[in-house]
Amino acid sequence: MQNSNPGTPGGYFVDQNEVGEMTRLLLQDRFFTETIQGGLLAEHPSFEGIHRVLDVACGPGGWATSVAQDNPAIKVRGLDISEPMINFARARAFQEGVRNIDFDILDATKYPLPYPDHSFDLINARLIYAFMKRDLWPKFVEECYRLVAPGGYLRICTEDAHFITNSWAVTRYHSLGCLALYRAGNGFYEDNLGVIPRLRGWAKNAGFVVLSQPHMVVDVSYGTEGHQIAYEDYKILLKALQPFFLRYDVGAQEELDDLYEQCLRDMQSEDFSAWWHFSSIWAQKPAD
Amino acid sequence: MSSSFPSHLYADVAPLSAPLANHLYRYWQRHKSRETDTLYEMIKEVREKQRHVYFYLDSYVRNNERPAPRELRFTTELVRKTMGLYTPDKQPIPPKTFSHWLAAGFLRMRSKGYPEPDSAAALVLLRMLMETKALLPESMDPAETWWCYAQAGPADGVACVPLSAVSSLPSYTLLWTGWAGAAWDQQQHWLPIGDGFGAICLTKPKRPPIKPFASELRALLRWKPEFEALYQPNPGCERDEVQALEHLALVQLARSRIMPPSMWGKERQYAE
Repeated sequence: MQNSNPGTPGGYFVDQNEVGEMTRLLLQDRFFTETIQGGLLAEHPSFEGIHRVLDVACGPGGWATSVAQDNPAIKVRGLDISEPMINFARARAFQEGVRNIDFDILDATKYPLPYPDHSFDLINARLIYAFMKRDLWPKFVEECYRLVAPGGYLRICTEDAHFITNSWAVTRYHSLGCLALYRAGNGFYEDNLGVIPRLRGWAKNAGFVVLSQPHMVVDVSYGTEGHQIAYEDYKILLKALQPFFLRYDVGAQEELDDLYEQCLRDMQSEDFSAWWHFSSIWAQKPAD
Repeated sequence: MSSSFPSHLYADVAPLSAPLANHLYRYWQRHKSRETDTLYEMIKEVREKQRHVYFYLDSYVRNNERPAPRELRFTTELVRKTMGLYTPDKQPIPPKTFSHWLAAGFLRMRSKGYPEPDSAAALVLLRMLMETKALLPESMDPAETWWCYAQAGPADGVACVPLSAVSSLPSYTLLWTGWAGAAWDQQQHWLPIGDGFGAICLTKPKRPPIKPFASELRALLRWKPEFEALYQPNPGCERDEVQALEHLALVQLARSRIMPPSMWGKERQYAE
């Protein structure tokens, strides 16, 4: 999730220019692709027939670069508002010898995006809730409809900050996150984001045919494969979220510090149990 | 509370050299101290950030070995911009400041416009950890390097040694560090472990032995005797087999020496 914070470009909820945030996004990206989604495009049998791909808010470019690497005949573009993030993505793609990819420094909330109609066969957007205001969601999906060629696809993968856990501290941190996002204009409720149940309607209203909406629940309890990544992700994210929490007045610094330390202790406890819930929508623009 | 950073822990804060580790420790004692945990808290923070620095800079450093466009390589501009992200105005560090750091011995250069990655990574790490305008001590011997752990054999004790002293260690001494950027040094053959958790290697003989595979295998079996059953010499492929076994041995030896972040704080306590 890249790009609701008046202090950061595009209103992203943490400073995405931070080197730590890039690390977090890289690790998160791999976790998503390998563990949560079970591959680069689990909703579809293959990339056959897909020639041009756009990854919205691509961050350090993990997914986009992997798609380009695995599919040399596909032209891939990634866009993100953060210049250091895009520079990093370019350097990494170059280092890995991937040449069928380009990156643009662009704000994914300013429409129209500077691409002609029908420019892409697939648009991918993962975890963009962090900067997507609630009133912008339908406009974003409509913009995707403009950019996708007839017969092309839209894939949006997100979470509603729904984290089931036996840790009071982690549950509390999530509640504060939802409240801060709501106050920033991002979610639909104060205690969960409410994006997942709206995806289908937005896609249909824009003209897409919804082909599927899979739900994924990932076990990130202590001792599981997902625990290591979830721990690292949270260690960086929960700390980086504190200025955002303070800005939207959902807690005092001392309270947040104590809560943060308790979250880390809980997540390192052998009793820690937790499940993450994600959903993605896979939709197609009808062929002419 | 001592004002010096314990020398046996220098390896935990690589790529910081000893003077920079001590400088950071004094800063931590003045600005971040929370009762008695100063040392542990500092090391925890360094370990997290050293990994971030590695992840961010790795591609740029590796692109220096390729005919890459300048903006995709590890240059002084990249270092100045990256460090600038951690200043109040978010502007790149002025070239004049950069030149001063070079003159004062904090930076080494590979060639004009291309800093030596470890010394520049140490400055980026320090900038991420220190929230003061004055980042560095007055000067430093430019020959100062970061430190790593060294163990001559499985029954031997663990020493903490500067990188500059590694060449005088016995052959096949095991070296390890939490600084994955060690692998940028292609001469020492460091093996990066996990997702930037660190790096590990065995020192090599200064002169190639007469029967290199036999002597490497013998050294390897000292560290992993159980590998004898795995070695199945196939004429012409001895090198491949010994190299594969060494790779596996290093990954397994790293297990108790280089911890993933979720284990940090559990593996050992830092008594002050």
